[in-house]
Amino acid sequence: MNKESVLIYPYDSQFTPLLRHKGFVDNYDKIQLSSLPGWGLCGKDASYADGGEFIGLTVSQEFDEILSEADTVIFAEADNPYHLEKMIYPKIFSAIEAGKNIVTLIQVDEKADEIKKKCERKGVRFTNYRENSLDHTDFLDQMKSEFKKEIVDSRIPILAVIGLAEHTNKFQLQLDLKATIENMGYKVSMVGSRAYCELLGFHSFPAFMKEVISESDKILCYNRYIKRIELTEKPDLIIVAVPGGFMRYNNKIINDFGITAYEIFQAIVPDAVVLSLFHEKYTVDYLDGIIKSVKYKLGLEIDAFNISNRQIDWVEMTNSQPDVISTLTLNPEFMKKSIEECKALSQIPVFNILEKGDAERITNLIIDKLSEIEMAVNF
Amino acid sequence: MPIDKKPLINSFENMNKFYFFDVNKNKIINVDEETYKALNAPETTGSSELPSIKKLKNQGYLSNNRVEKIEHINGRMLEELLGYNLRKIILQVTQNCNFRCNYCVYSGSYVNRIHSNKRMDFATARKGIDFLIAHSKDSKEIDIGFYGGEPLLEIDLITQCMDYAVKAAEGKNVTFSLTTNGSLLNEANVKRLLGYKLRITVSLDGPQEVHDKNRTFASNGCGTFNAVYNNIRRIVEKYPEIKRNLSFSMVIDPTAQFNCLDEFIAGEEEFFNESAVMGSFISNVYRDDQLQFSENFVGEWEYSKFRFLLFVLGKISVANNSQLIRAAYREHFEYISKSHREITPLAKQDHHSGPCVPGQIRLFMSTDANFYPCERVSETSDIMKIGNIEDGFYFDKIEELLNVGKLTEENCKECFAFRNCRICASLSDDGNQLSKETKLKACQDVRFNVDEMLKDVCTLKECGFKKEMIQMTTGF
Repeated sequence: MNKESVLIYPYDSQFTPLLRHKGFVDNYDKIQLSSLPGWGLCGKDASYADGGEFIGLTVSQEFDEILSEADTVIFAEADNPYHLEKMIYPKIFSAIEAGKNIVTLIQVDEKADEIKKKCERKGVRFTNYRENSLDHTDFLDQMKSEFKKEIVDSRIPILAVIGLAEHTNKFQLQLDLKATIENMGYKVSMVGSRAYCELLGFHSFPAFMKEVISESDKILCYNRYIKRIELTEKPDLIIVAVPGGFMRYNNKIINDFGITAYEIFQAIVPDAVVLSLFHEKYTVDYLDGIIKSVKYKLGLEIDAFNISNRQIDWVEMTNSQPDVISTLTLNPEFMKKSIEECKALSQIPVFNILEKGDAERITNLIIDKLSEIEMAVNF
Repeated sequence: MPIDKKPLINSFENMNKFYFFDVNKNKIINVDEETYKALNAPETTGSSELPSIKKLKNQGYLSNNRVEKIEHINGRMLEELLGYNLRKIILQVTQNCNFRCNYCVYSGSYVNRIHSNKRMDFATARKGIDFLIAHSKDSKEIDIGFYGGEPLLEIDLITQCMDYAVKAAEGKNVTFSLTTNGSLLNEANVKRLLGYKLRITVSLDGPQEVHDKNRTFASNGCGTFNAVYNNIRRIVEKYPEIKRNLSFSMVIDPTAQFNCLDEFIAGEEEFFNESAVMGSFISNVYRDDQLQFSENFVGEWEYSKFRFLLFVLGKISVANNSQLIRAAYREHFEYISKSHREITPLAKQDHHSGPCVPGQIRLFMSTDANFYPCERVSETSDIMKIGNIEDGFYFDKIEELLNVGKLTEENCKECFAFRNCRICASLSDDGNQLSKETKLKACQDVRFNVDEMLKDVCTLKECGFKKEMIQMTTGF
């Protein structure tokens, strides 16, 4: 079967992990990237967005001009703010008019029906990955029929991926760990932290966790959800990623007060944990504080730190007090040096997932740990 | 006791009470007289045994922790900060001006360039805008400023730049700013500026007699007040929406009187409402002679500040509540609003507050496309030339400017104003290079001001001041 040619719009750092993921790239014959000129990426290699290793795809400022070469257009979620009416919908409609298949990772609720109808009329495919239909009723009905609302233990090892906040390269970490563990011959199921993970062949964070049901029902549902994956997919390992951050960052950036993370770790008990942090000039005391915070808030022991190549933009955070964390990209050479300094301080192994070989090193560490568990005489 | 074993504090008396400011904790502590005396005793001779001192030490106060090496943490990541996180470029669209102000830094009384007919062409301006966009992928928004001389002499270029930037920076929130003397802010020009996200700052020094004393037309030496004032009145009447984006900059002449400024702002309420009024003193930086404050001015200025505090405390209902006065208390209120926060002790390697990363926040590009840290530095000073549009940034120079504290390393390590310092390279420039002597002069002012600020804060506390009063009465 001939592979398709795909155009990604609007491209920025949120999409870069997918370009570094073989499972995505191998699906397409040709990948083109279009971005908005003000985002500062046009004319540069796609890797400029995340500051990682060279990718070999140049970001274009054009959309209409390169549209003709694509079979499908993926309208991607972006880290930069964008205007749906001005920047997205007109491009979706012109892509439909040009007879291209449409994939939306972006939330297009208000226009979803219109897009669907236009696609049908034009005879092109429309796939909306934001229609996350997994609600709580299945799980709660099941518990009702069993006359018990209780946690069921998992028999499969679970690896948890958590982050201090958004923009700590957590999605890249999930993708790389999954791929590396699979390359070692294991079967891996994953519940990712984003809402469109089905595009990559694994599970999105379930919608019922954002529904208006009681918190304890959410915990029970998540527990049953993981159990269902265990029973139906029969993996060797389940990777569970937590969206957002695990604790309040400041008075304005509340990270859901860590409630989502807390609920997930009431529902399941992971066997290994990787924590993603921003880059910072850390001290022994700070890292110790983080370890304790995770231990006493979530009941987890951290096995590895992933230090992302992003640092909090303290000038912006202090002066403007924004509602979201503002960050600065750090160059690979800087990171190499800084990670070495951090390793000397930390009692827990430190990695940077964007550094070549670190995905394998984290995986080996995790597999070693899980093998120890395997050696125990458990039933 | 060796000096580095002493606690890093600044002790002071205020209104018959005794205090010390702990640099490591960034907190002021009220102590009894006996403790105060013990802290100030030349020798320890058992004074450290006082129970009060022991208790404070147990709580983490009175630490002798000091910075061991003056090194700015951002020096390690200049390539990233200037490569991905530029915030603003200020384009010097012309070096020409239709005013000849006595105190102007380009008047010949300062170590700086003087007025000339040099202007920027669009090709250069476009390169500057492209440079900003290409170096700001991590910035949430960017701003393009237009500066002179008098920038409105080049209004065609300005509108051309704004049209270009709006298109070239699509997807990013791009804003514009313009600093003008107001004489060309006529209806025809304003009409051309509407529709852009443009913030206009007009220089207006006060009532006619004050304004005209220093600000005169180049062509005939006549005062400029009427031209500016009438322009503003006309355009505000015609385009009332412009008021939200209009602010006034008052250069205060300390050889004159202050009361008339106060009265002018109060008397022209309709003229100034909705618009910010920012005040600054005639600059002493790079100045050939030193500016002398008149006795009358100091008295009136201090009285006005005092009345403002009474207003904030709710003791009087009316006072000059303009940004002119508020700016005098910015540091006080900043300190008060953060005073409850726990802060980590000084790091072993750190730099005093004050310097921003040269070029990151307000990159200034001259007509001939040279880069400077901001518009306030001297264009004739070699150390301040931090790059140009073709070569990009000179990182060695930028690192030297950022680490200006190295000039006075030993003084800084012992300085109680380390965390509240306002000195950057511009205050340490002797006109060609960074100078320890120039910086030490600025240090004296900073230490005096921080000491006064700490005392004022204690006075406010004694008078029942609460953090919430800042927001309620001043909108800080």
